[in-house]
Parts: sequence; C-alpha cells; structure tokens
Amino acid sequence: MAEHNNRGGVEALEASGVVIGRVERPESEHQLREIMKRASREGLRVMPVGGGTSLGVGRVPEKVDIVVDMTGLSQVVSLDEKNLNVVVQAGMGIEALNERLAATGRGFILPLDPPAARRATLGGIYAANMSGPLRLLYGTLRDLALGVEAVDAQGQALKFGGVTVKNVSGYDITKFLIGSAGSLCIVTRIATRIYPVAEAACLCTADLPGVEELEGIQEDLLASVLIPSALVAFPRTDDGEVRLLAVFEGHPKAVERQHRDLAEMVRQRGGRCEVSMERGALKGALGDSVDPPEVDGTLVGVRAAVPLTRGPEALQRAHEVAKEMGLQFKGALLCGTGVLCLYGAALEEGALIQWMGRIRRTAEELGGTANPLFGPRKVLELWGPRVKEEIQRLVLSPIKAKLDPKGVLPPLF
Amino acid sequence: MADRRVLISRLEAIVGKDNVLKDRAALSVYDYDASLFTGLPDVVVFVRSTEEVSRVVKVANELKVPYVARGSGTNLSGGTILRDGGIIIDICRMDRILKIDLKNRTALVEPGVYNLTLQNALAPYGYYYAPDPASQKVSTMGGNVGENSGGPHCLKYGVTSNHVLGAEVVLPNGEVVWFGGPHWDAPGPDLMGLLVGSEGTIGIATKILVRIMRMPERVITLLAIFQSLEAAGQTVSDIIAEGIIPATLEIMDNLVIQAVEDSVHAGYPRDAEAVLIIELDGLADGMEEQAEKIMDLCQKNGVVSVRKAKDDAERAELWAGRKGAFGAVARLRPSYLVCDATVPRTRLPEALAAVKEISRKYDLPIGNVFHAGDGNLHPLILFDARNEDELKRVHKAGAEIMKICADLGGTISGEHGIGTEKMHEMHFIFSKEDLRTMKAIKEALDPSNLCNPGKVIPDDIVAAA
Repeated sequence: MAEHNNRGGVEALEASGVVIGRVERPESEHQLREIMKRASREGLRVMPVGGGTSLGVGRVPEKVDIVVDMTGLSQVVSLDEKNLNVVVQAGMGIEALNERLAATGRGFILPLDPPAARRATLGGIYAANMSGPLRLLYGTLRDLALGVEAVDAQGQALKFGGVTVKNVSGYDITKFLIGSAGSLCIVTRIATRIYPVAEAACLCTADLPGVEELEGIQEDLLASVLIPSALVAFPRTDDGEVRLLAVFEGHPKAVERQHRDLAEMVRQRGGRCEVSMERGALKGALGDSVDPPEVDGTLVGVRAAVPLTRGPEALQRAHEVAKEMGLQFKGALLCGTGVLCLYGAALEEGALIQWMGRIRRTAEELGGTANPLFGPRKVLELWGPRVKEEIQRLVLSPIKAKLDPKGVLPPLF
Repeated sequence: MADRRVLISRLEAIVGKDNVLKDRAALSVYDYDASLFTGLPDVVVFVRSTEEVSRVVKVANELKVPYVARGSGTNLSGGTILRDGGIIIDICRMDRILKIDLKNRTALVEPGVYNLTLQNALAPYGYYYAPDPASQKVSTMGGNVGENSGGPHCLKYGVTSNHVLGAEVVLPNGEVVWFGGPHWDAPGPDLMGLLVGSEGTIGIATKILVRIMRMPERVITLLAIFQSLEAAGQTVSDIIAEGIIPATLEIMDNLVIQAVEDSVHAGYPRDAEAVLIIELDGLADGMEEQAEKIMDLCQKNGVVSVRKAKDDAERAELWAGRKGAFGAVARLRPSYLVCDATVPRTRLPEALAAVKEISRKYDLPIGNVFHAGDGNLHPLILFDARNEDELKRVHKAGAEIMKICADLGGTISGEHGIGTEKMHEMHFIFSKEDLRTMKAIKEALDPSNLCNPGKVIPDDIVAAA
C-alpha cells in the first residue's frame, strides 16, 4: 500500500506562511460534522486540507482557527466492479486507491494522474480541479465524478449525485463544487467512474527539434483518427528541443498501429521515437513529467490554460521567460487540452512574483488564463482574484453568502 | 402581475411588434411541450440576440413577470411550460453556427441551433458533436444545455455537460456574463457544471461553446435478437465484464418492437422479446476481434441471431427503429408518459421486473426502451389522456417506478429533467438539507424567483422559510 504522508498537507500549509490555531483530524464524517457545528457556533475559521499539493488554487487565509486534516477519512466505502464505480472518502490518496483498484478482479483504474500524485488526495484533486496527462482521453473529475457527500458550513450532511453516469436530478452540485477549493463546503466522499485496465498499452517517447515540430505533431495527431490516452510535452534542453510522451491503450493491434503511425509522424518532422510496452515505465514517465521538481530555494506552481493550438507556444514562452530571469524551470504541456503545469524556483520571492506575473500576461495574450497552484502565501496573495470580477460579484459572492453566511470556510477567489 | 398591455408594449419596443405573440390562438401553441403538462403563457417573444434576451429579462424583472426560455419544446418533464403565466422567450431564431474551429476542436453556436444541424455542419470535415439525444432532429442546443441531454452514446462519451466548455449567459437579473472559458479548466467552481442541467432556472445561455471530436475510423453496429429481456440484459453485463466499453448498448422490448415495425419498418423481427443494439467505434485495428467476442457473448446467452450492419445505410436503418421508438408507440395509444429513472446497470433486471408488476397493478401497457449500458430506463406508459382515471393511474405508476429505481440505488431522472413532473419525487433521493442547498443557490442567483419558477425544487421546500 502506498504510504501517504499524513502530515504533508498541514506541513505544506504551515510552510506557506499560514498561521494555524490548531489541527483536527477527524476519523469519521460525524466527527467532521461536530467540528463544523462548533466552528459555526463560535464563529471560527476552518480550512480543509488533504495532501497540500495545490493550496494556491483557492485564497489561502492569513490565519485559520482550525485546519481540518482530511487524511483521517481515507477509506474505500464501496467498490462496484460490475457497475464500474467506486466510492471513497475524500482523504484517500489517489495512488493508494489505484493500487487497490489494480489488484481488484481484472484490474481497474481511476484515470487521474495530477501533479504530485504521490501526495494528492481525492478530495484535494476535486477541490482544486487537478488533472494530469490522462485527461486527454478520460477527462477530469468533472467527467469522472458521479456524486459527492459533503458537510456544509453549518455542519449539516449533504449528498448530491449518485453512482450512475446518467443523472440530471436537480442541480449538478457534484460538478459545481469541483474547483471550489473548500470555500463552499467540505467534501467527505466522492463517487467516481472506474475503467478496466486496458488490454495493452505503450509509451512513445519522441524527441523533436523544436516547438514548431511539436505544434505540427499535435495538429497531425488531433486531426487523425488515432486515440492517444495521454500526450505531454516538455522542454528537453535549453536549446529548444522538446520531448513528447504519448500513451496509447486498447487492443494490442490498435496500440501497435498507433505507435507505428506516431513514429512515422515524428520521423517526418525530423525527430526520433522510442516505444516501451512496460506499464511501470509508462506511469513513472507520465508522473515525472508533471510532478513539481525538487529544488533549492522557493518553488511556485502555476496552472495555465490556453486554447489548445496555443499550448506549444505557451510552453516555449514560459520557458524563455524563466531562462531570461535566471529561474529554475520545469513545465509540461498537456497536449490536446491547452493546459500547462509550470514551476519556477528562485532564492528570492521577488523574482518569483515577477515570473508569475509574466506567465499570467503570456497566458492572457494567448487567449487563456493562469492561476497559482501553490507557493508562499505572501506570493499567492499578490496574485489577487482568481475569477473575473463580474463572476465574483454576480454569481459566487451571492452563493457564498447563502451557503456560508458566517464565513466559516475559506474565502472565495 | 403587471398590466398585460404595458408588458406587451415594453416587449414590442425591444423585439418589434412582429416578434410578439399575444393572441390566445397563437399562444395556445405554446401552452404545452412534450410532457403531459400545460400552461398558457401571457405572451411569447421571439428573440434574435443576446441583447434582446437581456432586455426582455430586465423588463420581466422590472414588472415582476415570470419567464422561461424555450427552444423546440421537446421537453419531457414540463420544464418549458409556465405554471402561472408569464413570458416565453422563444430562442429558436437565434439559430446560427457562429464558428467551427477544427484545430481547437470547438464550435460556437447560438442556442436555437438544432443538435442535428450542428452534426450535419461538422460531418463534411470528419467531426461530430458527441451528445446525440433521440430528439436531435428538432431539439435545440439551448434545450440540450438546459436538460443536460444524453442519448444512446453516453456510456462511452458522456452527456452534454462533458462536451460544453463555456457559455455566454444572461443571468436572472439580465446581466450578461461568460461561464467557463474558451478553454478548459476555468478557475473557480464549475459554473458550466451548474448551468448545464439547471433547466433554465438560473440563467439563459445565449452562446454555447462545445467540444467537437474527430469521427471514429470505424463503426460496427450489431443487432442481437433475444427471446427474453433477461438474456439481453445478461449479455450487456457480460460485455462490460469482458472489459469492453461499447459506444452504445440499447434494448427495446416486444411491445416497442411491434410499434416500431408498424411505423418505421426497421427490420426488427416481430416475435423477438428483446433487441439489443451494440455499437463499437474507434480504430479499425482489433475491432473485428472485439465484435467477435461480443457475438460469442451473445451466443453464450442464447441469442436467436446477430446481424451486423454492412454499410452506413444499414446502420441508419437499425438506428431508425430505436430513434423512432417513442413516436412509434403513438399507434398503440394516443398518449404516453415516458419515465426516465436510472439504476446501476446490474439492477436493471430487478427494475424491469418491477415495471412489469406495475403495469399489471395499474392495468396499463408499458413498453420498454432503455440505455442498457448506463442503466437509464425509459418505460413508456401508454394510455388515453382523455380518460381521467387512466391519467391518475399513469401518474401513480410513474411515481412508483421512480421510487423503486431510487430504492435500487439509482435516481429519478437520467436525462429528461425534473421540470414540473418529478418535483415531488425529488424527496425520494434528496434530504431536506440537500434540497435547501439547491434552493439557496437558486435564491442567490434569482432572488425574485422569476427565471422559470416552480421547477426542479419541490414546492414545499420553496415555500419553507
């Protein structure tokens, strides 16, 4: 069973500069409800935390009275192989869950592979709407989640959705809460789809001369009938070379045909391509491509989202800006989605603030957005609102005022 | 409500006199949709732009008049009927495909575009839009968004919500905002997730940005004939257990088969107890082997015969029967109530047995069409609406089917929405706290309760303090 660092999330919160009153780690949903009832009565500020891998997605308060460590709620509630769904408590780690699924029956998977998957919990992935390379084929939690249970700011238990794929009964609160970063309620259980492990899979590692070739390959692939499960690209050298990882899954014949076709596309664009059928290598390579790096100095993470055709350019520009500013940089483009995971490290926070600002401007110039994933609280606070002013004013603030009138949960964006 | 003449005059000033219906005879065309409910509006306006929608909504707010946006009115749960009068905002003239962006795999459409119109526009480029409700010839994209429409291919490709990136929305106060983005992963809570399926109660989409997909290289469509629903259902379970996720798994029973053959002549054998349509799509490599495996599983479950469509024309023929099923049953009785509950797939046999018992209990014929792959049943309860006693029994039968499906771990609506029809039954699956949370969201966005009021959230919850 994968180890889950139960202190990871709380430590990450402390490291980011938040002043914490106390930490409580409920081991049942009842205990969590009691915590929230007390907090509501006494006017305390509460913040839920899981693996702490993407705390910057929401507004991290300066001070929190109670940090609720959700990793005490980490059980599989039900696993239904025949109906292809699983219900888990929010504090369960995604890797631990997938180990369990892989060992069940014919082998199953919840195809979520966000950055820092070793520490990420289902609840945290849900709260931050995190995803990784496999989203290209399988989507994100907004495509995989079937239902949630939650505790609201007053300590009441709530349940939305269910375990069926088709469900239009009432408002789709299951989807609405994705990305809400714990600001509206605390999710305690999530029901998701699962998939049978594919019969065959391969990892293609293609090295391309530059970003132009990456743009061309992305366009060719997406216009073709090929069905990659994942495509992730990252700078291989400082001279502009790019590495593209492609995963194909399915019937052995389909897998073989696809890696052959990709190899030919790569060859025509002056690159070279190797293939591996080893599943461990596949998982490791994808994880390594999006995980935050180990660095000296302070590390920040930013998620950018641009129209998918602008993705390669966004990756190149983010890299160039970091080089120009002398920052350590790691970045990955989830090709076919326009989503980038970008990391910058420096000894000085001022440099990071500048870098993040330039990333944001770059994303906006390319027709997209960028928002923090994690970093020191002071740095994150300078980012300002995550959503447009009119959305905040006309939609989110009125909803927040109704669901959390006392402001028990973290503030909005 | 405000003086009707004042209301009409204000609306005419926005859209022009020719685009306002006010005579009773004309309004009566809008007093029904595809459900069993009726409700006469006070006025219908035809809008052509976001600005017109916004101005109409602002007038409605000012004069305190309820309103609902309406496309083709194919709504099956009374969602597009006004319960207590008001304005119908007909969006059908907002029917332009604004942009098709193949490289970014998106299309931007106005809400009045028919689903099939979009499909036909994409087809020459080798692309398509995945959600394909049976009503696609006539249902609008705006309506699809309102109901989170599904269709037979949801098992593999999901529903409307999985294929909409963003929308321009006129909020209940008349302000115009953009939900979601021109790209995925818009920051903050998933507002598109909230909007899609909200049945027009928290805003009106006036532009919709959808994801489009490359057409698969190959499609194999199989029609399997069984002598029992149970055998067909077991085959579905066996296919999934084999690790195969087909694009579609659809079942029809004998009552529906007979009606379809009388009406559409799809070539289904009249003596079959059940037909199962299975569709595989994707890369050609390996697909024949998958189809063989499926045919073996059909044989294992005693299939009478399996027919594979040899070309697109035959594929269309096999599907014509399924897509024409609802209309076909009109030959049997003048009215039907189509239930829409969903259960976990493995609970389908129990659900179907219960439906059979309910048919006997209430002495009403019930035909079955269902999305077997995702457990979404459509029992078609046949009756004559002119017979008041039958009408009462129909509603009771429908409620009982929903209750049983909820108790089997499912839900009361898979794709047709709550509307007016299923409001009371929301108590089968939600607690009061759950429903109050929905009410809180509704009140936050529509404090005047004018945006398609009296839908989705049960009246007792709305009325409570």
